[in-house]
Amino acid sequence: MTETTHPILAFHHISKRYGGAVALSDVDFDLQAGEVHGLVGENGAGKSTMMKLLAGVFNDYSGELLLDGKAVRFASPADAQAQGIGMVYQELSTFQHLTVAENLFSRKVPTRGGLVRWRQMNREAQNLLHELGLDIDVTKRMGELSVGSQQLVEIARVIFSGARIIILDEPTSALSVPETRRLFEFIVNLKQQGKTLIFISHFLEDVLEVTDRITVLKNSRKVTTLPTTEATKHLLVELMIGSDAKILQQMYEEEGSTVARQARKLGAVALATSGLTQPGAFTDVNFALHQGEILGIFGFMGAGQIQLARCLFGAEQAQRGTLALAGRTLKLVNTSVARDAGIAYVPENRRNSLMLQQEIFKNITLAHLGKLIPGVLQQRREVKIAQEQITAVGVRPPRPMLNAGALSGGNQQKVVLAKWLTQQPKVLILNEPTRGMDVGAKDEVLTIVQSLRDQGVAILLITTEPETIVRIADRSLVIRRGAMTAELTGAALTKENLMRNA
Amino acid sequence: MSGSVAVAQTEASGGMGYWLRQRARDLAPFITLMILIIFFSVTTDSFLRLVNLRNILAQVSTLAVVATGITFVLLCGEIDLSVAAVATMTGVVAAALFGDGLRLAEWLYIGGDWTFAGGILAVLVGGLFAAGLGLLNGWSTTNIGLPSFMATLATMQIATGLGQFFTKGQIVYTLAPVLSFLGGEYIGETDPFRLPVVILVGASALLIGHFVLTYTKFGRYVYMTGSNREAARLSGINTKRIVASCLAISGFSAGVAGMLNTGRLGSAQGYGLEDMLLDSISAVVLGGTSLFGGEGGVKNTLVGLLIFGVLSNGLNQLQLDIYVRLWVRGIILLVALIINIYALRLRDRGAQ
Repeated sequence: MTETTHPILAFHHISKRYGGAVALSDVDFDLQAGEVHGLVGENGAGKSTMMKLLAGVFNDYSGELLLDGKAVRFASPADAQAQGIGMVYQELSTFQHLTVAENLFSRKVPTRGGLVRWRQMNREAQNLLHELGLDIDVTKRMGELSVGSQQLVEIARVIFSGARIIILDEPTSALSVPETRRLFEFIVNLKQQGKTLIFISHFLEDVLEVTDRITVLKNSRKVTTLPTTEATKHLLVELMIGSDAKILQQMYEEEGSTVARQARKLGAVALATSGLTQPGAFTDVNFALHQGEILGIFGFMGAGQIQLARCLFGAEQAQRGTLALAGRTLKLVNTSVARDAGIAYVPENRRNSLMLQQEIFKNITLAHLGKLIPGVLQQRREVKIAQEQITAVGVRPPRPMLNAGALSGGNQQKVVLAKWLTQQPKVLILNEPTRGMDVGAKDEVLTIVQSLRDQGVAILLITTEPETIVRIADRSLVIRRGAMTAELTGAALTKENLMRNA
Repeated sequence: MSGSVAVAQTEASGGMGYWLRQRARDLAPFITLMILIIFFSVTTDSFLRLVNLRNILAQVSTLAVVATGITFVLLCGEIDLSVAAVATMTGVVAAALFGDGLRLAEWLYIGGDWTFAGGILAVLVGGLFAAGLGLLNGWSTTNIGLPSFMATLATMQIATGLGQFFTKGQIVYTLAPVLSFLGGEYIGETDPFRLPVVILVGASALLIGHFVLTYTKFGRYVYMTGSNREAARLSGINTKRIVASCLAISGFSAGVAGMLNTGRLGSAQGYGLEDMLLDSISAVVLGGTSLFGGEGGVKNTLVGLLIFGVLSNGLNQLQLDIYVRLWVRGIILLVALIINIYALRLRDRGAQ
């Protein structure tokens, strides 16, 4: 791959802005025919912008895109497809109720006189899969297949519709180990048939295993492209977070938070799990969360952490294992039991945490309404309670009668926190508490969380953002494909270590 | 009362425009009602007479009881298609219980007059029976996970079928006196403007419903469950219990309405309430309560009922041909619903 053949696709000084924010800055990139090219970088490094550019989602960028040596600018996603770019997204866009054959032919079902020619379609579909080395029954409904098989069909569909360059976005995040093996075999097979693939992933081992070359992005720029034979996981992590890691490290040492981390004395165990298992999500999770502690759980998207959080709040029931609150075993049959036991829960998605068409005060009093207002509801008292909380967490504008939907994302999240602070929680489970927030809002939310810790609340901080954990957690677990892979404390709790174990 | 609160809200949240947009859901139906009243007052002589206005209220009173229950169900984002069937069957069950009970007392040679107490008992059992059917709807919806649309459709057929099976097309004339009183009698028999008792029953149902939805925790949970069920659940609310309770309330109100109806007619039968289902749902939706939950309330239902009553009554007063009346009414209802939707769009655009 290192000899300079004619690249099938190349970026020349490509830059892209979204309003004031730079998404890609002067990126050069080349893709050789018949290679598998890995694309890695942190969240927000520019991977998805590159992908959208290739998919024809936007075309207002500067610089030049060369396809087969000729400058092109895709007018639309359909145009990109017509020119041989095939996308396989993380969230598969298959038709679950249609058969495999129908999915493969979704855009050009063979007909005669307006009637579908089923036999011809099935035969051709079976031949196609056979050529690609896949043994999948085309008459089965898509929904009956495993996620892994669906993905293979989706790749086959993209190839069938004429793609020469296939872009796989986080293809392994939802797959089991054997399914991942099967995907890799398929990729090798495709490579032998002369297809070119771009493999975008957080899972560095996967990238190292299946690619020929790897391009690393950081802060909207390309750091380097290197042959996979020269790369290691350690090197990639270093390239991805680079000097940042050192600067951050320094910053925290100056703040003395590492020291504070070691010095903090742990309270009694507030929440403990033993052998908690949910098939398909997480296995054998054991941890003890102490009063006055922030325990982080770091993992990439889809590692099982969201299901774990839901089980800890009774929104899902784990199949095996036990959970104890302050030493007493607790069966969380529903969320009311968890709430009454003093567990508070901030969901990963603000759409699942607020009633946007309802007033802020109703959102705030909701969780503990029974304790706050015994008997007949009195709006004046409710508003007063809400007003106190609004002041305490700093919701802006501080108007309890406004609808929650009128607030910005950061302020909505403060309302969610306020909802749980009307009664001091024993355990606070935070699921992606700062996702999609600007720096200022993030700071405010994390400051609130830290002050709760100082008041003795036991806090579980689940996030895909390593910075957040490094910044405020006392200790962190790392979850990888549903299993805890590491526990990091003190000086070992660094962004680099978190990412290396995920 | 609501006036002063409304002013406070305006001051707190940014001007009259904001307040008007927020209230679009409530204001649009109200304006529709006003337009209808003005129209019929001008076009007919008899519409505005006190007796006629009283008649309008009496005509929608039974409907008001069912509509109160439906309001709960729609607010939590579900639907109940079984109300008319439950009403019919409960009417039959209460009448049968009462008649059989009296005959049993006679056969056992129990002395004394059991008509009154037996009537009360029959009505109570009828209410429980209806609530039970509602609870069955709630159970299939929340525990089994059937869409309430299908669960209540099945209940509708079962209740309709059983009502006809038991009566075999016959009419039962032995009615509990309490039902004849509530459904068919007047307060102030000699007064020219005597007040039908059924208006008081309808008004009580609306008042109780309003109180529960506005001033109790349960009511708040109903709204929140309808606004965003997952968020309500993740706030520690047992949303299954809320949804099941709403369906039980709806069943109970339907049963009460069914029994009232037998009192009004003086007899119980296995048919005759077919219009109740669509009428009650249309009245609730006309008033501005969302079909998707979380917005609206009994105040809206009251306006919706009045629109419904005024429209039906007014079209009668116009002495339109019966074959014209039905489709004209349908068209006017459609227009009213379209106005509601436009009012909401206006609000949502203002919010952005």
